Parts: sequence; structure tokens; C-alpha cells
Amino acid sequence: MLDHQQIKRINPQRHPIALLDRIVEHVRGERIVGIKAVTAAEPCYAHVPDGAGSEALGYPQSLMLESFCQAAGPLAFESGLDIVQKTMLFVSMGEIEFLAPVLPGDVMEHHVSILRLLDGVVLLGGEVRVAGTVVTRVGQVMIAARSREAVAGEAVPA
Amino acid sequence: MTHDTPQPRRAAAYAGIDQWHRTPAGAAWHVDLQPDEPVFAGHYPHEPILPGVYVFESLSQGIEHWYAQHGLEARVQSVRSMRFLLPFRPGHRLRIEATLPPRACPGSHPVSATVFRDSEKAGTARITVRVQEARHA
Repeated sequence: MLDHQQIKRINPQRHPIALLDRIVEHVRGERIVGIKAVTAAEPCYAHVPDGAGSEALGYPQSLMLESFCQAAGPLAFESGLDIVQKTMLFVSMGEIEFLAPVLPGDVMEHHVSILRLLDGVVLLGGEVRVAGTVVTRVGQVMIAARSREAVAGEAVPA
Repeated sequence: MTHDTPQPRRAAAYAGIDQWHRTPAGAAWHVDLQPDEPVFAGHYPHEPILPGVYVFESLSQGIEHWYAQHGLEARVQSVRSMRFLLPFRPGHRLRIEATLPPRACPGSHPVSATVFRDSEKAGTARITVRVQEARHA
């Protein structure tokens, strides 16, 4: 499938926010499965207070969603969305349910499908699983691929 | 008016609040985006833009702080809708005004918020938070 370096040939995100380790399954035009391992050595855990309980170790929901969307990159690209040399921008998200925390030692599996692909815009949906259990349901996320010149001029049109 | 500078009490993408204060409708807070914010190096190397999920992170932290002041623990349970209207770059002020429930108590509660980039409207959010009594290690 795709390792981290191969993913970087498609996705524009780089360290410290390149949050996808591997693509393990890819049905062109339909769905993709990408994984990201979570470890306590990540920057997001750097300031967890020593006296905090274990519930403070939940992987940030924000980063989980970012990782999920990055899994969609190769799927969207192979489906015709031109993302190379583009700036990817969140347009909207909704119908997202966080069912269980993700903890250090877990491996997130992002199961992503394309719901709609329009000119420069992709609508995604799917699930995040850990060891076969759904931990997050993603109803819809809309991402736009815009030319760098257009983004320099501002708004994020759908 | 008392301003707080809360730090995340849990794993977090970044410290998403510089100043926080109560309002009649709930609370408001902001973070001034610095050029050396680590995420900008990778998002993106060609042009630093704050990931949209970082707006969500700041939103979550501000809500959690309001409930923490009442001895409660809150986590986002669901995102009904969130819209991102303008990109954020180094030098911008990300400001959030949240309408919170009239009483802070355990349970599931709706929260709505408006996001501003400096003085411009930059986004909206409608979420549900799950609230419980704070646990101690």
C-alpha cells in the first residue's frame, strides 16, 4: 500500500502535523483505510500535568479529525481531486460523534469514503476504529483544494 | 472584568487560549497566533495556515475551562455543525464567543459559538458537550 514517504508525495502536510503513518487499504474511487499509531511521546502530551488522571491522556479530538482527513488525501487524489501543489482547507464538518477516547498505545484506523467530489471540493465521511471498535463516527467533512494564489487572496469558498 | 489564562488540563494540539472571560451569554476567549507556533512549520511549508481543527481545539478548551470553574469536567460529545469561513495565519487573533447553558451541571448540553478573525466573522459552531463531576487522580 503506501508508507509515510509515499503519502507525503500526495499530501501537503509535514511534521509536526503529518498525522498519517500508512495506507493499508485503498479501493480507488470508493474508500480508503489509513492508520496512525498514538504514542505518549507525541507533542500533544508534552504538557499533561503529572497529577492529572488517565482521562487526560485522550488523544485530542482535533488531531484525530486532522488525521482522518489526511487519510482521505490519496483517495481524493486518485479520484480526480488535484491536491498536488494546492492548499487544503477545511470548509465545514458535521454529524460527528466521539464515542470513546483514543489512548497512547492505540492504533487509529481511519475508514474514509468519498460522499461527493465536486470541482476542487471533496465531501468525506466514515469512521475511526481502534482494535475493531468504532471510536468516532464522521458524518461529513468538506475540504477544498485551492490554488496557493487564491488562498493568498483570502476567503474559503465551498 | 477578570481574565483567565487557562492551560489545557489534558493532551492538546496546542495552548489555544491566551485570555478567557465570562460574558452574559457564556464566555469569550482569544489566542494570538504567533509565527513560531510549531504547527505552522508543517501546515504548510509553502504558506503557514492554522489547521481548521485547531479552531475546534481552541473552542473545546474554552468550553472545558468554563465547566472546570464549576468543578465539572466537559468533553465534546458531538459536532452538529462547524463552518470555517476564513483562514487564520500568523499574526491573526482567533477569538471565540460562546453561548453556554444557563446552569453548569452534569449531562449532555448544547453549545453554540461564533469564531472571529480579528473583527471579522470567521466561523460558526454548534456542538454538544458531555459533562460530569471532575475526577481526581
